[in-house]
Parts: sequence; C-alpha cells; structure tokens
Amino acid sequence: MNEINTPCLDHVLQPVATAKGLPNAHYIDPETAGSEREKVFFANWAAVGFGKDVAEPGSALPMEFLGLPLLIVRDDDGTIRVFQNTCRHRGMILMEQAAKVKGVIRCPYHSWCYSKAGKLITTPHVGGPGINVAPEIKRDELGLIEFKSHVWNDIIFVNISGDAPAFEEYAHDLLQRWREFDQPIYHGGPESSFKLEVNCNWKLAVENYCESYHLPWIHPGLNSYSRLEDHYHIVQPDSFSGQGTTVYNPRLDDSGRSFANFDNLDAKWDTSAEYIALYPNVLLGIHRDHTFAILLQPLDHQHTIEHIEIYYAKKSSITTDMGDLRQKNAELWKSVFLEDVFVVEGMQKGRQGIRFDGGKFSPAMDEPTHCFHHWVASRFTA
Amino acid sequence: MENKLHEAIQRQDLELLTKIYTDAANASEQRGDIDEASFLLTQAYVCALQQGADTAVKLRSRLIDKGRES
Ligand code: FES
Ligand SMILES: [Fe+2]
Repeated sequence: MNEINTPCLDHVLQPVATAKGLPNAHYIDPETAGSEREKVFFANWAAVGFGKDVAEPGSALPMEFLGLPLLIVRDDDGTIRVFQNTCRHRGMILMEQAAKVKGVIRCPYHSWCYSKAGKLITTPHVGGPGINVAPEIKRDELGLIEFKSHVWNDIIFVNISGDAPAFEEYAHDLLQRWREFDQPIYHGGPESSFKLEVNCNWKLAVENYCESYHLPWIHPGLNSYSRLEDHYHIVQPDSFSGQGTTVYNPRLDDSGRSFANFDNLDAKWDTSAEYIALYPNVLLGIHRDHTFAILLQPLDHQHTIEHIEIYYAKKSSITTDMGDLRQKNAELWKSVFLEDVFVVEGMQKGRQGIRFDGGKFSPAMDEPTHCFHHWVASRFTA
Repeated sequence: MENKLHEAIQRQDLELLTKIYTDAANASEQRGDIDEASFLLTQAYVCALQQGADTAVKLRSRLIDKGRES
C-alpha cells in the first residue's frame, strides 16, 4: 500500500490551490484504516463518550473504540476514568452492558475484583481454594489498564498511545477561540440526544461538516435565512477547521420564548455561531444559547455512528416547560443532519471509482476541508 | 444450604448470598475446618465487595487473620 500512498499524500500536503484530496485507500481500504487507527486516533485525543452517560459515581459504560474495548467509569469522587475493558487475569471482557457499579468491578470469570479507580482489590482463590494471595500475584502491578483521558464540555477524550501533549495544549487554539464559552453547560435531556448511523468513512462526516460550500444545495431551507455569503471559513492548521455564520437568529416558536444566553459574551455572538471540527472526531456547534457535539464513532472504515448531544447555556432552558422548545431545536438540527446523510454516503460510494484521484479543491470554498486532509496526511508522514 | 444458595444466585441477591456463605463459614470454623471456612469467607467477601456492603471490611479482616487475604 505504501508505494501507492506516499506520492499521493505529497499531493495532499500541497497548498489548497494545487493539492489533491486524500486518496481512495483512506476511505475504502481496511489496511489503510488499520494504520489510521494508530496514527490518527490512538496517537491523538479522540472523543469516546459523554460525561452525562456516566452521570453518577459508579456509572460504568462499556464501548468499543475501533475494536478496542473500553470501559468508562465515574469513580466515587466523581472522576471519569477510561480503562481497557479487559481483565488482567485471562483477558475476559469485564462489562458488556452499561450498569451502576455499587462496590467493585468483578470479573465474571474468576471474580478478580477491581475498584472503580482500577485498583486490583482481591484475587479470590488465586493461591488455591480459600487462599486469596500468592507471592507471584502483585496486586499493585495488576490494576486495570487506564488510558489518559480528559473531559471538556462534557466530552470524554482519550489518548490511547499516552504520548500526545496534554489536552489543553492539543486543543489550545480552540480553547482560546471559545474561551468566552468556558461556562457550565446543561444537557437538554432525552429529546436532545440522538444517533445517526451512516454508511461512510468517518472522515467524510468531518469534511462535509466543516464546509459551507454545500449549504445552498443540500440545506436550501437553512440557506433561506443563513445564506452562503453570511458564512466565513475557520481554518487552524494542524488543529481544527470549520465555518461560522454571522446571522444566527433562532426563532423556534411564536410565543416569544427563547433560550437564555451564556453570560458576558462579546456582542459578536448576538448573531454569530460557529461550527468546528476538532480533529479527529468531534464536530462542535456553538451559539449564544446552546451548544452541541457530534461524536463520530467509527465502527469500521465504512460505517460510522454519529452521536449527537445538545446542551444549553442556562439551567432555565432545561426545565420541563421548555421541553417543547428543546424538542423543536433538536428536530431542527436533526433535519439538517439528515439532509447530509446522502452526501456523505454518496461520497463513500464515489470513492469506489478507481480513477478518482482524491479530488480537486476549490481554493475559495474548500480550505477548511483541505486543512483537515492536510492534518490527516501529516499524521502519516510525520 | 444448596437450595437457598441456588435461589439467591438465581435472584442475584448479593446480600443474601453474603449471609449464606458467612453462616456456612461460621459453621466450618466451629468445626475447625479452616480451609473450608476460608473458602466460604472468600465467597462471602466477594459478594459483599460487589455490593459495596460494609460487611466486606469485617470479612476481609477475618481472612487476613487466617493469612488468606492481604
Ligand atoms: S479472567 Fe478475569 S478473573 Fe480470570
Ligand atoms: Fe451540511
């Protein structure tokens, strides 16, 4: 694969005017997906879940991250930890369903027990019946494997390789850009949470999200109040890209009710909203009154689950009497995201075209997309 | 014991399981069968741990006393 890839990735690394997009192999070839798992996901800070899904001390959520079994646990002091969901004894999967862990995480095979912080607490009968100790079994060396994790805006990020810079450094430019929004957020509840399963490589969802070029064609409804010329590109090489609008003006109902805003925002945010893909796999939307995150969970190289969660700026927005308004907001976003499904799936199909060369970018419109491709290609060539 | 045990396992009743094993362990200990008592105390201990029950502390120290736990 390498002989074919390296020259193509050189094309990707050119300036947008002369660059080509990532070659087909990055979308349809399982072997390339395998190296992407290491270089793109495991070596960086990837999103794997939401804090609200492990809401209480003892909440435990197993999930599969590109085939890697993870167990997300909130321990007794409220800290979220991400473990490998594999027992240190014979490698049994520890938990297969989300559950509330009351005491310890007990392996269902021979009952080795781990604390919620991952410590090995007991090893029943390990030295023979009724003998729970043995000189060879050093409990402090046999705790659960824990991955580096970080929670930001309720999104749980992990760095599997363990050698990425700290999250604050990794996402520094985005944290700076949105520092005004560094305030508590409140999940809307069941109506503000939904999933879409798409038959495409996860990267196509990123690419489509960070460009505004498609708005007039794919979202004509949106375009009636948020026209193409009201959008600007957001490009931060090596970190994130996306788009912003200057005409954010939500009108969800006629009763005059609206969601309360974050405190002390710059006047710019009265009408601005921004949509940014933080590489690799989280798509963010920020508005003066609500935010959302789309976590892209790649099932394999051609199937992706989009987990969408909507949060509000103020507690007053998550009360029962605002439920119908939240419902409308969620439906609005869902309809927009659904409009995108056929294009991301269509681009996946198009990449079976053996003479597709990665594609020709529009220098005026495709810079955010190229920024992402450049980042991915750089992971492979670094 | 067999029947009660079966039922408690079926119902995943950890509190009851802890009690059944502890009672059985006490009986073995009275008979002077420390190996069997330790086995049963371990079963009780794991059930108590899993449930996050305070009784786990006591069970653990009984096992430690017998050199069976750390
Ligand atoms: S595999 Fe987990 S205790 Fe044996
Ligand atoms: Fe779109």
